[in-house]
Formats: sequence, structure tokens, C-alpha cells
Amino acid sequence: MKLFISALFLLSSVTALSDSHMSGYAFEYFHGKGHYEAPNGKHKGKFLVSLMIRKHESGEYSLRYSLHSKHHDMKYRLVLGKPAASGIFSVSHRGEDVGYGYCVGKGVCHLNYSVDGIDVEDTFSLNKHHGRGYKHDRKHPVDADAEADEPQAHSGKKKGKRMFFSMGSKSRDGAPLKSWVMHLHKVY
Amino acid sequence: MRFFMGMVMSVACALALSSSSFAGSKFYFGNGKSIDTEGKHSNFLISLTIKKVGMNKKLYSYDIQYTDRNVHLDLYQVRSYVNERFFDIKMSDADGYMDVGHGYCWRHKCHVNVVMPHISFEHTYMFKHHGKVLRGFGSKLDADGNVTSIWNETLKRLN
Repeated sequence: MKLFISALFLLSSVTALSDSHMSGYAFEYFHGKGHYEAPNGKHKGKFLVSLMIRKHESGEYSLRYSLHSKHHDMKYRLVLGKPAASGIFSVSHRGEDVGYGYCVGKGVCHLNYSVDGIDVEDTFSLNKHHGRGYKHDRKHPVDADAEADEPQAHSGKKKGKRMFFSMGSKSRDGAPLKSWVMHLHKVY
Repeated sequence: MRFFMGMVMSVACALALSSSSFAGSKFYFGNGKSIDTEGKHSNFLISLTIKKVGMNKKLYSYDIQYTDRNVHLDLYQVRSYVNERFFDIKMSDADGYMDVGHGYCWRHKCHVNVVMPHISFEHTYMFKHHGKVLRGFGSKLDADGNVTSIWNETLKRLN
């Protein structure tokens, strides 16, 4: 009985997802984890994150993040406007224009926006996984450059799977509060 | 003759780079493209020298020279690492050094935010191919914080 209900539930979920695709907008769903750290080095930790990227018929994209850590649960949604001739697009939050963004080839984009007095900058990329991992190196960032992207043994993630990577920081009045990095993989 | 001149130039450059003034430094040179809010493109040349300052492992200088058809900029920054990840940026002026911004790195990817009286920008860059290539992109802002142009660049390490 349980199996039947699960199967029914799964079927209805798949149908709902397919319906969403068919009703004029497409979306992708990502899930993953990240780290954050404050400049004092003491305030740091891990978090889980899910992201839904939806493309609207108007040419806008919406990014809906859900973050969960030991101390915080946060949800927020950003809308990225249609790019102008320069490639720059608006970033809005709760219907209010809060900043701008731009993309540079190969699915790499950057956002600069400000919400509730906190300035956020975020660089993200949407690329396919190359099927390799990266060396963990705790050397000084400048000195570590040469070795940092050496391929290591296979990380176990499926090659060719769409990945979302984000690196960003928050600051208030020019003072950095924290920086994060997150890796997500596509689940739908 | 052209080949000979090319050879002479290459040898001269190699000698200059290996001379004491570049000892212990990383010298990058490259070009990039920028586009303003009206969609107008322009090309630029850029060089970057990263050097340790004195014996202090936490201080690095970033000597940046930017040239396009209309502008030549000399930006000499000193970056002071707070820890392995975060750093503060100072720039020299008539009164000494002033705080202009901050940045951070996650492995080989870095980001800086710089606010100066005459120019403000945010810049993301990453080192690739064992540090031999630096790829970056960023945006410039006016005094009111409005974006005026975006750019991307590729630099190669020459020493």
C-alpha cells in the first residue's frame, strides 16, 4: 500500500513538473552545499542550499534560493531582468529594483545588489561538470595559484551533469561581513 | 630582418623580466574588452605585477597598468591579508596609504571591491593553467554607484 502511495506521489510530482514545462516556462532545480566565513575567521560554517532557476516568457529569469544552516533558515527570490544592449540587466527583489548584473561567456555571471542595507556581490556559473575534483590546498591564496586547479582523482560526480557554482560576499557600509562559496548539482 | 628584430626584442624582454627588479614577482600582460551602458565596445591593454612587499608574508603589491584609446591608469595597490582568505586593499596617495577596499579568495578565484574618489570597480578574477593565465571580469561604477561599463580580460604570465 505504502509502495503504491509512493508511486502515485512520484507520478503526480513528475506530472506536475512536466505540466510546468508545458505551461510556457521552463525551470531547473539544483541542490547542494556551501561554506561561509567571516573575515575574523571565527564566524564560519556550512549550509545546505537549493535553487530553482526559472525562465519566464518575458525573457526574465528568477532565482529562488532556500538556505538552511545550523542557525539560519532563509528563503529569497531574485528576478533578473532582460539584458540591455550592453548585456547589463536589472536585479529585483520583492518587486523593487535593487541592483544590476551581467554575464561574460560560458555561463558566468555576476550580480551586485543591495537589500535591507546589506550589499551583496555574487559570481555564479552554470557549467557542466568535468568529472574531476580539485586539490584542497590551504596555502596562501596568491602562492597557491599555481597548484590550485590541478586535477585530482575523479570526484565521483557524474561527468556532463549541470552544475551551479556561486562565490560571493556581503558587506555593510563597505565593511565585509562574510563570504561564501557553494556547489550545487542539478536534480531536475 | 623582421625575424631578427623579433628575436632581439624577445631576448631583451626575457632579460628585462629576469633582471633583479622582477625577482620574486609575477608579471602578467594581456588585453580585454569593455562595453559601456550604451553598448559601445572598446579594447584595452593591461599589465599586472604581483610582488611580495618586504619580508612580510601578509603584504603583496599589485601594480596594475591599464591603457585604452583615451585613458591610461596606474593603480598601485598594497593588499594586506587578514587571514588566508580575506585581504584589505590600500592605495598610495600624497598622504601615504588610504584604505580603498577589500577582497577575498576561495582557492584560485578572487573578488575585490574598490572604491576611490575617481574610480570605483568590482573585479572577479581566477588563475588558470597552473597560474599561467589570469582571466577576469568586472564592472565600473560612477560616484552614485551606478554601473557605467563592464569588461573582461585575459592575461598571460610572462615570467
